[in-house]
Amino acid sequence: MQQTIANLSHEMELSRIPQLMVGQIKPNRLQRLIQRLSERFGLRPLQWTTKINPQKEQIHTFGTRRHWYLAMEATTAHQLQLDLTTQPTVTKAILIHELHHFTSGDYWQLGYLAKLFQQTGWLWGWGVLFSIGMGLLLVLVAVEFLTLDIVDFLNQLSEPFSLGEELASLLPAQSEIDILQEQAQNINLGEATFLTVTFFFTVFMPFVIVTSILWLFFWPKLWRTREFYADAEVVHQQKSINPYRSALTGIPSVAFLNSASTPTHEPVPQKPFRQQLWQWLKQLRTNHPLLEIRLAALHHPTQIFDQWFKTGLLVGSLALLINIILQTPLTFFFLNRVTVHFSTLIIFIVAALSLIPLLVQGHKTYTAIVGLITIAIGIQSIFIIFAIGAILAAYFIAPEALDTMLTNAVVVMSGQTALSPQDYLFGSELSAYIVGFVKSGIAQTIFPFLLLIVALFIINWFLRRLFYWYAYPNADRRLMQIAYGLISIFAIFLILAVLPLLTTIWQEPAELSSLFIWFWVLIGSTIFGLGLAWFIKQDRLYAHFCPACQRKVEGDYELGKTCNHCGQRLHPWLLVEYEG
Amino acid sequence: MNELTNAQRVTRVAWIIFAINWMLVLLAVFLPIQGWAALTYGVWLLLSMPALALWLVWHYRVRFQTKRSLFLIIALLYISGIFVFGYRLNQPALNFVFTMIFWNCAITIGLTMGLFFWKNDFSIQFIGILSLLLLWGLIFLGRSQGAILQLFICNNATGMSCPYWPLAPLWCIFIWALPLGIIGFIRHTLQLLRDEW
Repeated sequence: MQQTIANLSHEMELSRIPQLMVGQIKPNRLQRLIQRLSERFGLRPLQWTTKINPQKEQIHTFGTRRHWYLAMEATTAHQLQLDLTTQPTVTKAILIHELHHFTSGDYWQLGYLAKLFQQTGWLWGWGVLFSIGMGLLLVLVAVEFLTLDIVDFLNQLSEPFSLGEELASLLPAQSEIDILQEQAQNINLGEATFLTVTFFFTVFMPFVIVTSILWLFFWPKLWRTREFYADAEVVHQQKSINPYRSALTGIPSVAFLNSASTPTHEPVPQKPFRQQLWQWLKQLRTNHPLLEIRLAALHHPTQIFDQWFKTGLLVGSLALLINIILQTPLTFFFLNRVTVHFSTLIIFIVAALSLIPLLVQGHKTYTAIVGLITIAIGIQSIFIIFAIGAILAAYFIAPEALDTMLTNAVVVMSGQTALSPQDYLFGSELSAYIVGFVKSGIAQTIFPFLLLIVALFIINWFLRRLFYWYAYPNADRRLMQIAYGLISIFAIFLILAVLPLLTTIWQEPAELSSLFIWFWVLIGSTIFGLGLAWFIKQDRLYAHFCPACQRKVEGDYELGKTCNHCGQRLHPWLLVEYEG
Repeated sequence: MNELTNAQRVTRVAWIIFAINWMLVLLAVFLPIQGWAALTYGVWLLLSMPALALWLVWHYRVRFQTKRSLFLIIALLYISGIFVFGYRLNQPALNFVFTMIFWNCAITIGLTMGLFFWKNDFSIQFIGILSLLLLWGLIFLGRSQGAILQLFICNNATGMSCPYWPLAPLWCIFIWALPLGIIGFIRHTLQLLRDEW
C-alpha cells in the first residue's frame, strides 16, 4: 500500500527497479481483477508488472500523467492471488486503495511535485556555487584588470600589435588610468570576498533550504493525507472496513466479524505528551500514517483532517517559509512591502479549506478560525515580533548602541546593494526610523491577523450557507466546486483589492492617487461583485428547499438531516453507511 | 560460421591498421626516415589515426555511451594534454605517444560525448558540473599563479609563449559539451514529450 514517486520518464523509473521481470509471473486471475476494477473506476488499461527483488515496498503505483504502472513483488502477487480464493474482499481492498491513487492523480501530482522540489534544490545549490565562484573570479580579476597596462601588455607580444587610432581612442586616458589604478590599490580583497560570499549566500541559500524543507517534511505530509483518502475510498466502495482492516493488520477479516477482540470504535487513546511528540517527530518523514491512526481514521473519518491547532502550525510554517523566500535580496527589491500579501493569501486559502470538514459536520467554527489564525500569524511573524521586541528594548535601554548597530548594518547592506550609505545614516532620525519600523511590523502582523479573521468569518458564512442548498442540482459533484470557486474569488479579491489598498493607506497614503492601484481594485471588486450576485441568486433559488417536496426546510443544517415535511434525507451524498 | 557484415569487415581492417599505426608510433624514434618519407609518415598518422578511432568508437558505440567511457576519454585527454603542453619529457618516443593520444582523444571526445548525450539525459548536469570545475579551477589558478587575466589572454592569443594553462583540456571539453549538450537536452525533452503523448 505504498507509492513511489512518479517520474518524468517512466522508462527511467522502470530502470531503477532492480531485476525487474515483466510478465515472468502470470497470476491471471489477479490480472483480470485489476482489469475489471480499472474499468469500474473508469481508468485506462494499466501496465502492471511483478518484480523479483524484495524491496521495502510490496506494492506500489507510479507513472506519469498518461502512463500508469502498478508494481508488486512476486511474492505479494502470489499471496494476493491465493487470497482471491480465501478472502477475495481483502485483495480487492488492497487493489482499490492502489487504484484510487490513479483516479485521484496522486502518483503524478506528488511525483512531479517531488521532482520540482528536488530539481529546485539542485539548481539553486548549483547557483550558490556558480555565483559565489563568478563573484570571486570578478573580484580577483577586477584588481588585475584595473592595474593592467594594456599598451605594455601588447608590446609583450612576439608580433607587436598596433591598436590603431580608433581603437586607442576608446581606451581611457593615461590620467584616468592612473586614478583607476590608484583606486584599485585601495580595494580590500578580504572585504570584497566577504561581501560577495554573503550576498550570494543570502540570495540562494533560502531557496535551497526552503525547498529542502518542503521536500523532506511537507511532501510526506501530503502523501499521508492522500493515503487517508485512498483508505476512505476503499471503505466507500466496499461499504465495510473489515476487509481493509484485515489488509492493513494481516488479521483475517473473519476474525473481526466474530471475535471478541474486535477493536473498539473509540478514537485513539491520548498518550502522554512526550510520547505524542516523539511519535509526531517520527512521523514527519514517513509517507504513511501510523497503523493505529489509519485504523482509527477508518472508524472515525473526521480524524483524517487535522485539528485547527495542527493546521495552524502547518500553514504558519508554510507562510514563514514563503516569507523567507520572498525576502531574499533577489526578491525583496521587486516585491518590497507586498511580500506579506502572499503569505496572508496562503493562510487564507488553507484556513478556508480546513473549515469545510467542520462545516460538513455542522460544527461551530469560530474557535477554529481564531485559534488557527493566531497560531499561523504567530509563527509567520516570529522574526518580525522578535525584531520589534529587540529593537524597542535596545532603543529604550541603549539608543546610542542601537544607532551604531543600525548604521553598521546599513553600511554592509549598501555594499551589497550599491546604495549610498550616507542616505541611510540615522543620528537624530533614529526615533523616526524606530516608528517606521514598528509601523511596518504592525502592518505585517496585526493587520494580516485582523484581516484574516474578518475574511475567514465572511467566507465561513458563505461556505456554511452552501450546505443549506439542499435542492441544488447535482449537489454531490457541484457543491464542492462552488466552495472552491468561492474561496478562489475571495482570494482574488484579497490579493487584488483589499491587501494593496490597506497597505497603501497604512504605509504610503500619497500613492492613493495612483491609477495603477485603483485599476486592480476595480478588477478585483468586479470579480467579487459578479461572484456575489451569482451566489445570492442561487441562494434564493435553492437554499432551505427540500429536493423532494420543494417545501421549505426549517432549522439549521446538520449532517444527515431529514426534511421536516417528507422525511427525505438532505445531502445524502455526504453520508456513507458501512460495517465496522 | 556466420558471414561477416561489411561493418564487421571494416572494423577488423580498422583494428589491424590501428595496431600497425601504434607500432609505427612506438617505433618512430628508431625508424631512419627523413624528408618526404617522414612527411608522408606524419600526415598518414595524423589523418588515419583519428579516422580509425572515430570508426571504432562509432562501431562500439553502445560501449561508448556510458559514463565510464566518457570519463576514460576525458582522463586520457587531460593526462596526455599535461605531457603535450605542460611538462615535456626527455623521451621523444613517449612525447610522440602522448601527442598521438592527445590528438586521438581531442577528435574522438566529440563523438563520445555526442553518443553519451544521445543515450543519457545527463547533458545539463554535465555542463553544470563542468562549468563549476572550470570556474573554481580558474579561481584556484588565479590564487596560486596570479595574473589570471594575462594568463587567459596569453593562452588565447597567438604569437606568445605562455606558462602552461592546465585548464585548456577542460576548456576544450566544455567547447564540445556546450553545443552537444544543448542538442542532447532538446533530443531528450522531445523524446519525453513524445513518450508522454
